[in-house]
Amino acid sequence: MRETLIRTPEGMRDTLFDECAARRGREAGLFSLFQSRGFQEVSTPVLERYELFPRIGSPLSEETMVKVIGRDGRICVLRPDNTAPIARLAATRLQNEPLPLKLWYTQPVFRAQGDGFCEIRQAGVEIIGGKVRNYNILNLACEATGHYYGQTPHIEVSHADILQTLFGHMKLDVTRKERALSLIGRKNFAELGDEFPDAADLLKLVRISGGLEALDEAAETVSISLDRPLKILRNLLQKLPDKQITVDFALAPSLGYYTGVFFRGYVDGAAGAVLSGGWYSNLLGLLGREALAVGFAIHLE
Amino acid sequence: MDNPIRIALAKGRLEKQCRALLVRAGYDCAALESPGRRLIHTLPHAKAAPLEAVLSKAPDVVTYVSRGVCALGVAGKDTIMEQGGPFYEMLDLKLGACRFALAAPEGTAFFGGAGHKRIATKYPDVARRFLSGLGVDAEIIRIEGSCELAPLLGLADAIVDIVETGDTLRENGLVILKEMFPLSARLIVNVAAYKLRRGEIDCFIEALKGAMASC
Repeated sequence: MRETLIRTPEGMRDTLFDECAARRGREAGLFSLFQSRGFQEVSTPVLERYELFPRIGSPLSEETMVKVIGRDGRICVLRPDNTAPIARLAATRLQNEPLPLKLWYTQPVFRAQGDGFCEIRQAGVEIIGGKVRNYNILNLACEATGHYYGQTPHIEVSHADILQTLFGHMKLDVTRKERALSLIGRKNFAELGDEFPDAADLLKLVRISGGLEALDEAAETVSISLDRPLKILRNLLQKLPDKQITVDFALAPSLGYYTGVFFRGYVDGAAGAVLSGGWYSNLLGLLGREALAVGFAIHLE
Repeated sequence: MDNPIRIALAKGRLEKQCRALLVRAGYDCAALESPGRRLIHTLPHAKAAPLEAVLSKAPDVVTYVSRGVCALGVAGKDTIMEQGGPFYEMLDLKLGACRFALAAPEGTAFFGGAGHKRIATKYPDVARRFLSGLGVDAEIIRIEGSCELAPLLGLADAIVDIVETGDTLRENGLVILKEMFPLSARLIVNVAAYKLRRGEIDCFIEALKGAMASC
C-alpha cells in the first residue's frame, strides 16, 4: 500500500453521484420557495476578515474558526457563519440600497472540530430593515424546513429580552452571565441552583416551557415585569395555532447577539437543531448601518 | 406507536447502582443482570412504555446521546466534563459520588520551584483547564490505566484522577493537593429527542426522581 495517497483533510468529504443528485433535488424546492417570496440571492466569499466576528459579538468562539494568514499578515477565517458576512455586505456594498433588503443564500460554513474541520451546508434568508412580522418569519422558516426535510419541524421560541432583563436585575458580570447561560442552555438546573442560589426568578423561569399556558405561568412566577416580551410571544403563538411551536425559557442566546424573538427547529432523525434564527438588530449598527434585521438558516444535512 | 425510548447506560463503576435505580422506578431490569452477548435490551414497565437499554463504556454513552442514536444516557460527570458535547444534563442521580482531585507523592513541593509540572491523567482536558486556572505550567500525559502508578515510575509529578475513598492514593503514598470538583452520575438527554418526545422523557425523569426520593 502506498502511504503517499492524499486524502481529504480530517472531517472534509467528497460528495458523489447520487448524493449530489439527491441534494440538488431537495435544494431546488427550497431555493424556488425563497425566490417566489421576493428574496434575492447573494453569495459571499469563503474567506472573511477575522475581526468581523469579534466586532459583532459573534457567539462563535475563536477556536472554532478556521484561520488563514493573508500575505499582508492579516488573519482571515473560512466563513464560520452566514449572518455576519451578509450583515457586512448590507453595511458596505449595499449601503445605498433602499431598505428592506430581502436576501437569500446557500453556502457552507466551516468550523474547526476535534482534530479536523467540519463543513456545514446552509441555506437561509436575512431581511434587513423594514417591518416584518414574527409570524411571517416563522411561517417561512417552517415552510422552508418542511420543504427540505419533508416533515414539519418542531419549533421552540423565546425572546432575548427575557433573560437579559433577569440578568440586568441580578447585576452579574460578563463571566458569571456566560456561566449562567451555559448551564441554562444545557438544562443543568441543579448546578445553576448551586452556583446562583439567590436567583429565585431565574431558577423558576428557566424550568418553564410549553404553549400559551407557559406564558401565563411565567408571568405569575416571576416577580419582575416581563410583560412586553411575553406579550410578543403570546401574539406569535396565537397567530400560529397550527404549528408545532413551544416556548422554552431555557433557550439561551449568546450574550447580546439576538435582540428579539429567536428560535430553533428540530426534525426527526437529526441529533440537533436543523433551523435557527431570530432578530439581531444590534449587529448592523456595529458595522455602521443602523437597521432592524431578522433571518434564519437551515442546516442542509 | 413510536419506537421505545433508548437509553445508554455506562458499564462499570455506576452500572449496579444505576440498575437498582431503574428497578425502583418500576423497570424490569432482569435483561441487564445477565446480559450475555446481547447488546440491546428491552426493559418492560408495568404502567409505562418500555425502555430500550444499551450497555456501553462511559465515553460512548456521551457519544451516543450527542449524536442522537440514544435519546437518554447515564454517565459520570467526569466523562461528561472531559468529553463535553451538545446535550442536556437534566438530572443529578447522586450515584457513584466521588470527586476530581490533584494528587502527588507525599512531601512533593508541587506549587513551588521553576520548570513545568508533568501531570498523568485519564482526563487530559479537565486537567489542562484546572491547572491553567491554578496558573501551573503543566505537561499533560494521557494514561489509560492506573494513574497512581505514574509518579511511582517517575513518569509524572502529580496526577489528576477521580477519588472515591482515597484508599488507593494512600496505599501508593500519594496525598491530595487540591480537591477539584464533586462528581456523580448524571442523566443526559439528546437535545432534539427532548423536543420531539418531551412528554415521555419528562415522565421518565419524574419516575427517576421518585425512585431517588424513595431510597
